[in-house]
Order: sequence, then C-alpha cells, then structure tokens
Amino acid sequence: MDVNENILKILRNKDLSEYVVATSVTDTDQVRFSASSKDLFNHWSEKSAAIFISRGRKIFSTTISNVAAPESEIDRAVSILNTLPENSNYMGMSDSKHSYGSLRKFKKIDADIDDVASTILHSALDSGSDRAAGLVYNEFSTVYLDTQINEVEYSEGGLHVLVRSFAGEGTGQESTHLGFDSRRSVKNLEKMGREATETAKLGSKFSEGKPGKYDILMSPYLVGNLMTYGSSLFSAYSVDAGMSCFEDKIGQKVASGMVNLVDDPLNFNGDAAVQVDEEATPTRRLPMIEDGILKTYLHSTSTARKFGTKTTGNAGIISPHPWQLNLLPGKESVDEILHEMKHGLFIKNAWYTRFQDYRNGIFSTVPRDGIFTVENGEITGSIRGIRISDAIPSILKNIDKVSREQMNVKWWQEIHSSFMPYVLARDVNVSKSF
Amino acid sequence: MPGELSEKLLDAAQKKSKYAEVRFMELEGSGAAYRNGSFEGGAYSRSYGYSVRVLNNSLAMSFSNSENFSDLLKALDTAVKRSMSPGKSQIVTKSEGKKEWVVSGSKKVDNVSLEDKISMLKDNDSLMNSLGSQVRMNYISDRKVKQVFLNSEGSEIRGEFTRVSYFYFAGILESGEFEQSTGEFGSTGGYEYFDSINLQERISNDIAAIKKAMSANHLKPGKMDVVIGPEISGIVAHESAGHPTEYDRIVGREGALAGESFLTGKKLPMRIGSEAVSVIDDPSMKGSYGFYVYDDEGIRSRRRYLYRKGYTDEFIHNRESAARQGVAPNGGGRSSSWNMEPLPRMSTTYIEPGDYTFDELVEGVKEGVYIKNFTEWNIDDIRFNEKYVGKEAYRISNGKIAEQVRRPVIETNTIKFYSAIDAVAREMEFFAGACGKGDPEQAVDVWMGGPHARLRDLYIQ
Repeated sequence: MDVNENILKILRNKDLSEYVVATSVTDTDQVRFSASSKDLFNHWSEKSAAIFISRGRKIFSTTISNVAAPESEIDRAVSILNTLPENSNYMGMSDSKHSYGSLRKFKKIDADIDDVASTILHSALDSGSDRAAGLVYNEFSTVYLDTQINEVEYSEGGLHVLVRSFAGEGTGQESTHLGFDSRRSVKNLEKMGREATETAKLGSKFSEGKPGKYDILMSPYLVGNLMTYGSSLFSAYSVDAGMSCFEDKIGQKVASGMVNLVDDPLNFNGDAAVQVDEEATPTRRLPMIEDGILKTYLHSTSTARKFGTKTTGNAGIISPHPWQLNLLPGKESVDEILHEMKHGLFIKNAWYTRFQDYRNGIFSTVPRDGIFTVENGEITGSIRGIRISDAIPSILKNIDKVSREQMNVKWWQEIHSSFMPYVLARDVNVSKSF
Repeated sequence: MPGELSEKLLDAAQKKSKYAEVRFMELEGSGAAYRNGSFEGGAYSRSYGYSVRVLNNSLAMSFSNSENFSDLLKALDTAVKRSMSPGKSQIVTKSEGKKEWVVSGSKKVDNVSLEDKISMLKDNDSLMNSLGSQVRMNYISDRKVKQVFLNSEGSEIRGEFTRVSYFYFAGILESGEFEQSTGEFGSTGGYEYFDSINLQERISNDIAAIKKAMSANHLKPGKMDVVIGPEISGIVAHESAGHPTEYDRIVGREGALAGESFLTGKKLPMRIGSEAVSVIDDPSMKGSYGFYVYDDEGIRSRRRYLYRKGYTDEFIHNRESAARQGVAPNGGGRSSSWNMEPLPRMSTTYIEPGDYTFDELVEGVKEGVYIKNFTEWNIDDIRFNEKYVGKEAYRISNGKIAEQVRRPVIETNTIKFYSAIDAVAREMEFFAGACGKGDPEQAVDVWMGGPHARLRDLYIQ
C-alpha cells in the first residue's frame, strides 16, 4: 500500500518471517464541558505506524512517528529482534490470503460537536440539574494495514456523547456511541441530558445501603461495565496464562440459559466496529456464549494454533480481545421485569471494578449514577455507600431475566462500546462501608 | 530534526491569540516481558509531536505529529477557530523564564543491554516458579522523555529525564483456591534503582506470604485496632487525599469521568481527620517515580501539603485550575504524552511520617490486625467510600504479631479512616504506580507509599 511503501520496502529486505504494518491517520475532534459552559476544544491530527515483526518464534513490536523516513527505527527494531530469545508460545500469524471484496468504506460523521455539546448541556441544565459535565467526540481514523501477504485499508470511528448531571448529591449519567450506520440523528440525543437529570434528581434524597444478598436489576451501563472488565477472561491469552475463570470450560454451562453473548465487530451502529483484526484476518460475528454454554475463547492465529483451533478474528496477535460485545436481548420489557421484582435493587452504573482473584473472577465494583431500592415492582428510594462484591461466574449463572430493550453503551475506559440489555441477576452479594 | 518547528509555531500562534503555548515532547520507550517460563517479546516505541494551546474567547488545543509546517499551521488554525467560540477562558499565563533540567541516573538506560534486562526477567520468573507460583508475569521497561515548553509570555523550559520500572504478577493455585499478587517498582533516573531495592527478596517474601494466606483463617468481622503498612497508607493517601484535592475535580471539570470530590461545594478548610494526619504530594522528591523539576506547563515543581494536621490545606493545580481558584499554579500540571492535555496530577503522595517505630505501633494494640499490603481496592468517584482488601495480614494480640489471616477488608470512608489514625511511624517505603485520568485517559507515573500507621477502632470485615 502506498502509505506504507517506504516501510515495506525496508522490511522486505530484512529476512523476516512475518510482518504487520498498521499506519493510522487520525482526524479527531473533542469538546469537553462542565458546570454551565465548555472547558476546552481538542483536535488531533496524527499519523503513526505500529509494526510487528517476527523471525521464527522471535517477535518484536515497535511504534514510529516518522512514517516518511522510518529507516533508523526499523533498523533498530530488526537489530533488537536478532538478539531476542524465542517466544515458545508464539505460533505464527495468519497465512491466509484475503481479497476483502466486501469491505465497506466510510467517511467521518458530519456533525457539529459544539452544537451537540450545547444541546446536551442545556437539556441537562434546563431539566433542573445543578450542573452537568461531559464531552462529545467525533473520531475518525483510516488504517492502512499490510502484512507479508495481505493489504487492506479500512476506517474506524464514530460519534461518542457523554453527559453527567448533578442534583444535590444525586448524579445521573447517560452516554452513547453512534457508528457509521447509526440511523439516529444527533438531535435525538437531546433526551440524554434530560434523562441524566431525572436520575440525578431521583438520587438526591438517599439513605445508607445495607449489606446482603439482593436481586439486582442492572442497567445496560452496569452490564456493560461488568462485561468490559470480564471480557479479558474470554481471551485465549488469559486462559493460557492461567488467569481466567473460563479455563477448561468450553462446551460447559458458564451462565444461565438466558445469556447469549456475541462479539459483534461488523455492527456499524456502534463506534467500535472493525472489519479486520490486527493480523488482517476479516472479523465476523462470533457467538461466545449460547444459551449459557461457552462456545469459544477469543483467538488470534497464534493462540488458535496453540489451542488446536482456528482464529476467531480477534487478534491482538499475542493477546486477542473482543471488538464490540453484544449481549443479545430477551423477550420481556424492562418495565415487566421491574414490575415482577419483589425486593431488590435497580443499579444504573458502576466504576472502579477490580479483581482480587482473576482465576475465580472475584471482584468488587462501586455503583454510581442511580442506586435505587425496589419493593413490589416499584422504585421506592435511593441508597448510597454500597458495593457489588461478588464473582463474574456467579453473576452470569444467576442472570434470570434479560430485557428486550438494548442500548449502545460506552463510557471512558469503564465501558467499552457495546450493545447491552437490562438484566436481572439473583442473589448478588452487596457490601457496604462502615 | 523533530521539534525544530516549536519556536516558529509559537510565533504563528501568538499572532492569532491572546495567549499561546507550544509543547514539543519526544518519548522513547522499550520493554520486555517474560510469562510462565517463556520470553514473551520485546517492544520499542518512539513517539513525538507538538501540542499548541491558544486562548481567545475560550481555550482550544491542537495536537499534531507532523514535521511539515503547513500541517502544523492547519492544526493551529483549527484550534484558533474553535477558541473564538464562547467557553471558559481562565488560565495563568506566567513565565518561569528560560530553564533547563536533566535527570538520567548513574546507570543510564542506554547503557543497560537488553540481554541484561531479559536475564533479570528470566531469573525472577525462575525464582517465582521455584517458590510454587504457577501463574507468572514479569515486565521491565524504561523510558526517555525530552520536552520543550514555550509560551507567549517568554517561557522556554527544556527538560530531559529517564524512568525505569518493573512489574510482576504472581498467582498460586491450590485445590481450586487462588491467591494473586502484584508488585510494581520504579524510579526517575537509571537502572541503579534496582541495585537498591533487593527485588528478589521482595518477590520471595511476597510469594511466601500469599502461599501462607491460602490456608489462613478469615478474621471475625468487628471493630478493632489496625496497623497498616506503607503500601496501604500510600494507596489511601493517593486515592483519598491526592485525588480529591486535584482542583479540577473540585470544580467539576472531571465530573463525567473520574468524578468530582467530596470537597466540592464544602466550606474550606475542612476537617478530614485526626491531628496526627498530614498528607504531602511532592514532585521534587529525587529518585521518586513521579519526580520532575518543571511540570508539563513549564511551572517549577514543589512540595505541597494536601492535608495538614487533620485539615485540608493546599490543592493540586495546573495553570487552568489555579486561575479558577485565583492562586498561583504549583507545578501539578502533568501530561503523559505530546498528544494529551496537562491536568492537575499527583506525583509522590504520602502520609507525613511521625515519631513511632513499627514495633511501637504494634505494642500499642491489645487485639487487632496488621494489614501489610493490599490486593483488590476501589473508591467511589467523590473519593469518599473506599475499600482495601488485605493481601498479607496478621492478627495482633497483646501487642505482638500473631497468626496470619486471609483477606481482611477495610471498607470505610475517608473521614472515618483519617480520623481513626492516632500514630504514624517514621520510616517510609514507596512503590510505583500509573495514575489514570482524563479522556483520552492518560496514565502518569507516580510513587505511592509512606509510613506504617495505626488506626483505632475501625470496622474490619
């Protein structure tokens, strides 16, 4: 590919077994706002190349800024490669030649992000919040990806909008991500500010929570947070490293029968959609859990060879990862699920999820932006000061209901772009501060 | 030569704005990893570029890594155009004149061979394996940073430094039970740091402790006296003193991300704990992982009391937040890369040492627990409701360390925690960490640690 030609010319003469060159050309804008006005406008215009090289089982990665004159950096990388020990876990890259005939092309979404930010900020403030904070991103990158046998050009990006509203000590947060195929117009996002404020107002009068086991109705944000932090447990890398609670669980029941989880990289309603993975294998919709049964780990060619299977199109060459999770919807509406609850909690979001035991998936997370008590199908109050202190395998097995409504959720590093429904999980352990 | 367009870019920027800054930063990093008995791979990266910040009706920034001046002008014009829109426009524009600083240590990163680094990884992997750790990850890295900061008030600050770091993860699996541990060490300087910390002894002690923890009993929950180790006093100082005193959080600028602060809207100074508690953040601590002479906005770094004798004191500021409070910036503006905005950040944050020895702290406890370090932890977004799960911990009985206990949990709030402290030891120990903030999230290098401390009558689960 022309963009990479300077780099490729050098690499072809280095007696390498394999190489990947991924040059990203980025054009991204951001507006940040807080209190009652905008804080800062940011613009990124970048071009850099990520390069992976191997000779046998010797592997090395480098990133360079100077794509036009890369000689010295590549020479350095290759000279380091020569001195390295082998990685005995490395089993090579994809050797399949792809045509990429159906690859789709996109342009940066046409949006006035100043206007979007103003609309959301004012909808939050006009709904009665004390103050609001958030940001709007319009991200766009073109990636020129070459391997020793494949070449492909594709686009990544989308529009991401986040707002958090404050009313007294109550908070509410809404966020979304729009991909290149999203049919929703930016103007329809106006309601996000209002909804964030409504949640904040509901949470402004609260009592201290009590520890114990609760049925918890989890909003798509909370589900997205748990799935984001739990997603590495599905990677073949984590399994191979001995750091996954799903080791030796393929074909076994790891979740309730309500759970159907797919990786959904070709869904361009979301902004994490991607058409090829990091070794140029075309991505695909991948069932990970079907009716509660674990179907596969996430694989690159290298991990797949080690596990005696085929790549799932999820390279990271060394450490595979999901692209855009989709927990498939159920049949009941969230209102019906809420209505059937006798006694429990409705939690809208959480952050700071940390594991004390990766192997058994034991973690805690801090609920925020709406923690409500539910009695006989009604929201009866708001609480604070609690944590979900449980284990991923237990929560997956205790999912009893999944809503038919789904949301595009994304928030900072806490929720990767995904499509999540509401879920009702039974007997979730809740702890509190003393 | 990368960076040579900085002055020219500033010239152009100051003609189009009330105030302008140009920052050029070059980062060169290398690392290598070992996992479960196998070399994992090596990595090297070199990244550089310009950030330009302009002030007109509002603040705007552009980031570009082009060395073509017309590309940089285009990026500048985008920022200038956006800065004409209404928005916040407060920023301290002061100049610190023309200054240079360099830190590279005695065993310079360029003089330590990759073979030596891999040998260190391999030795530690073998050691961990011999001690019964089935799950092992070791990672070593170093970084060289060069930066030029210029502003329209005459600042010209040139800085260069290197940092080294080491991370390990160890996991032991026995009969379905699992215990895990991480260790993270780092310094601003060179590889001489690793000659001073006896890493192999630390790893050995750590793995022996988590192995014993697997068969240890849990404590009966209840109120008791607690002695905490430097790792815990450090994470507490970082999470519940450092973060809530970052002034951008107090005024809500991080509200939708890492959150605000329990100090937001409060009358200040506010009592947060006992008189025994003072918490310091000090970027000028030589050798620390968060060391720097000038921050990433060209402001001289200095020590600051975040809490002093149980009350809030000074806040962590960058140029923007200082203007919001109407004070001078205090050298807290940090950015992890050329393409990240400087934010108010911590450096080395710790509870100020007292006069006690560790033995004296323990001798003063009739029945209680010594929690040496932690595994899982988290805190809410106003930095008030926090949890620390003990990794290596022992019951204290009649002023003496007794049997080991498993995963005792401190789950409390900031004011209860600091109010319970009645004594602080004099010796300090520090650990490295990466502190995340902002969007795009940027991790900056920090030291966390400090002295042992004693807390009275805290509820332990």
